[in-house]
Amino acid sequence: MARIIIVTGKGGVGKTSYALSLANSLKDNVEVLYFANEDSPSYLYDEFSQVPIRNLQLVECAQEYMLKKLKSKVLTKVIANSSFFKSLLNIIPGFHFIVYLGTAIEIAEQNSEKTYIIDSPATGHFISLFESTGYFASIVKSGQIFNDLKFIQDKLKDDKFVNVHLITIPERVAFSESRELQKRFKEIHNVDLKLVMNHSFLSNNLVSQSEEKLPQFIQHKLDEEKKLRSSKEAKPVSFIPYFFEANFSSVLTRMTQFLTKSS
Amino acid sequence: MSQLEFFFGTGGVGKSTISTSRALHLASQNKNVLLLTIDPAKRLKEILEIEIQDGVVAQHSTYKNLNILLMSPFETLKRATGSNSLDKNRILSILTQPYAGMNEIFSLIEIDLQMSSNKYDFIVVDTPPGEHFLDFLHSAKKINSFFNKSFLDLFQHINSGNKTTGLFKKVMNSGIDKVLSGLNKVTGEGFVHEFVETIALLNEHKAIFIEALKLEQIIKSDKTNCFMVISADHKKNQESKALFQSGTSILKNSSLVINRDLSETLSNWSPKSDELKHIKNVLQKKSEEAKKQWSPLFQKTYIFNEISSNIEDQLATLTKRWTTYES
Repeated sequence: MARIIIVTGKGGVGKTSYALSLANSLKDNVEVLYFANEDSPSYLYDEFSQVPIRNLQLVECAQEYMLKKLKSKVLTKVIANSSFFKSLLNIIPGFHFIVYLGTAIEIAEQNSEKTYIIDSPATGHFISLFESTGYFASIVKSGQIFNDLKFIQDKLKDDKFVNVHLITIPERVAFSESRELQKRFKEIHNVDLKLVMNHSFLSNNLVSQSEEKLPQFIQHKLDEEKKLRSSKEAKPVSFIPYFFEANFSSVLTRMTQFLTKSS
Repeated sequence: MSQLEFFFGTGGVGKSTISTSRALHLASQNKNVLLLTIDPAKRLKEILEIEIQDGVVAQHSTYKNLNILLMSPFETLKRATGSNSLDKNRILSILTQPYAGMNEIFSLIEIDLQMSSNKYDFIVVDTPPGEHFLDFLHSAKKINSFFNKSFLDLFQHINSGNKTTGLFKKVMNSGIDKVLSGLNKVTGEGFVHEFVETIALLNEHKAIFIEALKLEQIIKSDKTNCFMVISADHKKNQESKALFQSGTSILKNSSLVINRDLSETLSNWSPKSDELKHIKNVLQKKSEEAKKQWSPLFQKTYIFNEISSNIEDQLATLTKRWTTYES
């Protein structure tokens, strides 16, 4: 298992349930990292986690980084508290992602026995998460920050260190979005995203082994899924059944059991 | 003035499909409509099954009175400033990448441009998921702090003297010298110099940003129709709640759209085996809970059934549903 697992995918495909179930199924020596923001300063789902959650705060992480670079507490404080700097964090593309990733990598390096799971933003912003180091390196071109950016980039591409689990569902729009993303990462970064199909109706025994005739809306879902699964371009490495449960915590329990068994 | 309509909601609930059907409905009523997506994921292309270029207004193949625009921040900046020399600024072209932090600010400017073109009766906006829509609502605040607070010292220096030569030196001697020299230390002089030039360039075009601030008042007023979209099968209640609280405290006029409702379909299904009965029960419960929890919070609720068909038929059914609601 890689040291850092980034979980991503289109909105609503079950990133959070997967990230938490994966963490819960690993049980020991695992932590969930959450990139906090102004609107949600702490992880909304920590009540469902059986493993520790660490909320990374942007300004704190940035300050810590600056302190290391500038080696002066006074100077760091002056800069970090200036509205100029706060604005800079807000407008520079992916600047905040670089700060978060740098921090996550450092945490993982310092605690070599642990696995870290990142419940990352939806696909679009995942692209900027991954590519912002490159953009920024091309702006800066040299100096200490440039070297640090290169370091983060190398770590992201090292599959022993970072794995990306791309969650998808058997639905046309969501599936083709994951297929595009997988292709883009292979071509541009030479990184393999591990495709995980969630909400699988074919993998749900209640449905797929039913002897009774299914209603049209379920049959339609099964047919769609068969079609998508036969696509040669993108092959999911694993399938997680759709769990017919009325609430989030029951889904998590079922998914955790499922992932524990299949590992 | 164009009537603005926003569709917002957490990821995967069907914002793009619902807003597209809304635009199709309005177009079918002979209105001039612009369907604009400010979500960098741009799923409109797949939903309408069309190939169009980002940042260029395209006409719908059936409804000539329906135009479609996929947001491109850099194109917006060029259109707004009428300047072609911006391409040469390296930092600016990176700042305006679709996945960059300035996307929301430029979306505000784009909507402002389209509003003042007076071409449309309706502008239907498909927004990015959840918190990124909140970013959009906060973008006016960002513009304000960008021009009026953070870079004020820098701008005063830029405005008071020579724009290019010696600018860097001046800045280094100003009140923000500590910040810049800190940056300088870790990035090298080249970057800081280029960065200051970029800020100066943006400052030259300050007017377009300030102009867009006026739009904020319109968006927040009851003149703008907002639709919060939720999906009946969706589990992420916490996120929807957070979005509802922040979003509707800013927006004055919001309706609810419940997408993929199964109630009707389920009531016509009588399963026999226990397994399938369980499935029916769970799905029914979810559908009812979604309605019970959300409908009372809005003055108006639109319910769209789950549709088991290809995307084209889905759109046609959704469009008809809008027409039924309006008549």
